[in-house]
Amino acid sequence: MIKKRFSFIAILLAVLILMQPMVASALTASDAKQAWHDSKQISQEAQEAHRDAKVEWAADKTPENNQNVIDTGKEALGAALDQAEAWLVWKDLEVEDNPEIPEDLKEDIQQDVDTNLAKIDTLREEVDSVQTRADFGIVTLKMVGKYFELLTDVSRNTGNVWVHMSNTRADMVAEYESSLREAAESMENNGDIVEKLDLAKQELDMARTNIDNAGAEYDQVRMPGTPIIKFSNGNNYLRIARGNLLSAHGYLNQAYNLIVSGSV
Amino acid sequence: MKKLIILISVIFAVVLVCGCVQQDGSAGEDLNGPDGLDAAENDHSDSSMDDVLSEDVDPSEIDQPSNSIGGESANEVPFSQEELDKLKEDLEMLEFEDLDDFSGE
Repeated sequence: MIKKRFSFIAILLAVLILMQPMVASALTASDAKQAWHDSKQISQEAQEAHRDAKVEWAADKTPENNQNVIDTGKEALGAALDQAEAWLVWKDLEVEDNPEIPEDLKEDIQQDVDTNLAKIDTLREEVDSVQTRADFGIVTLKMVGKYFELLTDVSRNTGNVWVHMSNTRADMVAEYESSLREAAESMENNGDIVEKLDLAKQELDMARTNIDNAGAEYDQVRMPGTPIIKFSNGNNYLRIARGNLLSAHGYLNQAYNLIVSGSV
Repeated sequence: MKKLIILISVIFAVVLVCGCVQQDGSAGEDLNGPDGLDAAENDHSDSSMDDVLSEDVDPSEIDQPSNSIGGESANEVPFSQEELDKLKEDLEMLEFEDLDDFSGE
């Protein structure tokens, strides 16, 4: 009886061990994105705690408060590295199964992710080795310099992926617009339809301009420079382009309804 | 021993079913509209198809097709309303998230 129980426990443990990789591999891009958002929150809280510790030390310069500044500072740096790592993991998973992303771009991103994850491990060791305020100051300065290096290459390539995807969507809108225009040309009294299609075309042209502008901004996501600002600028252009495409879609929808109803 | 094998099979089955359900759930989330986009985004980002139509078109001007079959109508249009709706979904799924600044402070 006891032997059977032992066998059962042993097999159960074996099953659980075998299941571990299955659970790990089930991490999706969506989970990774959520993990990144969570890590941002933790990082902000850690930085807040470090600021509070510095205020306490300024008011009462005891060894305990000094140690608290070092400890909270190490936690804040570690949390910032966790945040960078979570973002890289998310980007890696995001491109992995996306058939829309060109293979060369996909390979570049995955290679950069691996390189920068290794850099994060090195920086983490440096943060762990901090013992004094002086150590902490040196590592912090180094981190400020290195932090954006971790994200720059992947940000630039991510921007280029988004440009590619936005161009693909713009091409789709253009195809729909051409099809509707062709259909409208065979109709009499098609003035209202053509007017809607012209408005759609205008929005499409503006979208293409904004996508091009975004591409130019992403190309400047490099070190030295202001890569995160350039990345954000590119994102803003693409958000406007997305709005243009949605407006174009609205006009196409109106044109479509006018055509199918024949009420022109 | 037979009972043990049955028990392990049941555990595996439950784990696989749970895994599949979880994957489907995540996929569904991915298809949801954009979240966390900032105010710089176009107003259409939060609007439904109905909202877009009601903003731009007087409903009285548009007669719904009475002669349509499966979204197509007697007036020749080379695609269906469903395809057009799908295009909007594809556009809404585009999402561009910024990175935070880091000062070390």
